Amino acid sequence: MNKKWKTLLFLLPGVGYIVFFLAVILGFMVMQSFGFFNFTGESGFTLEHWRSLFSRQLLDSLLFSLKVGTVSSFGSLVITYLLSFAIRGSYFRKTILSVYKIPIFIPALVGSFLIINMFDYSGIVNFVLQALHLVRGPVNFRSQDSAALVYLIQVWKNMPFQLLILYPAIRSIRQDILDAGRNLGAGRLRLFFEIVFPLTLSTCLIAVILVFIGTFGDFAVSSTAGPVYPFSLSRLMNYTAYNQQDWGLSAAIAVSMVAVITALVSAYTYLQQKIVK
Amino acid sequence: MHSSLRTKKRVRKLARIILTFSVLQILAVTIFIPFLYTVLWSLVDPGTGWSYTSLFPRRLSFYHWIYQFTYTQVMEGLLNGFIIASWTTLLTFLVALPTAYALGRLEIPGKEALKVFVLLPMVLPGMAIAMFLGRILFFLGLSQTFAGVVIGHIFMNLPFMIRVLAVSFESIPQDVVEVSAVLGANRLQRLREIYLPLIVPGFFAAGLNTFISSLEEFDISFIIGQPKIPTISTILFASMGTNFVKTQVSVNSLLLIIPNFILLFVIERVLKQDYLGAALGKL
Repeated sequence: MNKKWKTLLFLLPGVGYIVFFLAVILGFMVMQSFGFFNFTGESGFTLEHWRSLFSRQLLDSLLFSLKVGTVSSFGSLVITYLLSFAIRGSYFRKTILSVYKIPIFIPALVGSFLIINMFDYSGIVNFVLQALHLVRGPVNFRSQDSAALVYLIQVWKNMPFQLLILYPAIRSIRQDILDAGRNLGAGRLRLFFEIVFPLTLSTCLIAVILVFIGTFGDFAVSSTAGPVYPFSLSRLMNYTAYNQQDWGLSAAIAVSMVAVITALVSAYTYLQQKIVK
Repeated sequence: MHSSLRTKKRVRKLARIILTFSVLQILAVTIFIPFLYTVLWSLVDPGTGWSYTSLFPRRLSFYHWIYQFTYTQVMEGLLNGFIIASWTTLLTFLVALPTAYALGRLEIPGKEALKVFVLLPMVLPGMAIAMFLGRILFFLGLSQTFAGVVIGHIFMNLPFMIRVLAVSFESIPQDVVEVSAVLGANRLQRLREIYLPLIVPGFFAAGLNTFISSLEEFDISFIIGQPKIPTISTILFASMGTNFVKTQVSVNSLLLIIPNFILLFVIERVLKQDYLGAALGKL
């Protein structure tokens, strides 16, 4: 047998599976967004769904999802850097790091409940606040129009993941480089922005982009802990399809989400190549 | 001069102790207390209750655990989850094996691009994939079936399995393979005696990861399996909706993460190398 064919045959199962389902799923999505394969009415080419994409509700959801992605990824990043330095100089480094891996393996739904459980009316946070007489009655953290808990849950869930991939990069910066910087009179902030940050930039980008993508498309957390309005994009897409039976519009939302993520990944690849150079 | 150096050292040591102490405290507040608190809520005695002014519940009982197992679908959910996760792990491994071999050991033009390409299912929004895969499976008559959910889970787990196994194949030294060929081992023998034993650690790592992520997967199980095939995560989601009862949600949450902890413990024990880091580090 030809060597080329043999290689292709080996690649086929895994790559073929992914290509096949990706093509079918994405193809179906795009076709539906233009009015084909309509389940509820007549099928045929139309730009109707794309036109109805430009609504107040959708814009709000888009902004909400972008905000959740940004706050979660950069919020986690700040904590990750601070914690990495704290761990670097402390005892029990290994134990602390392995305990911090736990949230990575906690499903988003459970993470969501763990935090809600701490912050609702009968939660321990309200208990402490009341016991210290800081508040009169229990505070409603799980307010209907606040996204605070969503950010908190996402940072709790994603910071450990960033720590896992960023800490080795930070640890590998040699102490004498930092000492040299300090001897030359650089303050802590300057040391960070001129030595630590540039040296870990490539890893930092991966950490940010992966968390952003995960939280941007989130359904479970914003459905259980999020505000009543706006929905996250995934939730709006789900709601449009199953509660309003408008699969065309839902498909248009899905295609837009994929487009945003594709743009981000391309930007990431471009930046990464620039850094390597 | 000498004594000032000593004080400096002492100050540094003190700073380290304070730092360690505060990190441990943050750890306790952010990791241990949420879990402890959930465990306590799942054990609250319904007759006594638990409310403000008592830091701990006054009486503990297994009432809610027994209730969940007698009157709800959690037992069925657990069983479904384990069946789906077992099939997913086995099939994902079989589908990924040849591809990982090719990516790890054969010369392919554009290999790096291909390695990035196989990661695509991981980055696309899970709910979008679940919904439109669900539609296709509906046309094929596979909606609401075990096969449908497993097809979806294989799709989501292939990237990780392929990447980890490819790293395992790559790290087998070429001379071991050549020596065995020189000694007259045929293809089947080489596969059985060299390749398979040497990728076992990689398979363990990726397999356990696949098993766990299938067990806790929500989007696909929710869209494709619900309501005929409940799993713990879809039951948990339902219980966090309008009928939010804290004690029951606590039990469901713990049911979802206890298997995780057991499997994770196995990973830490069995595997010396940090495979998760190794596979993700090469993104």
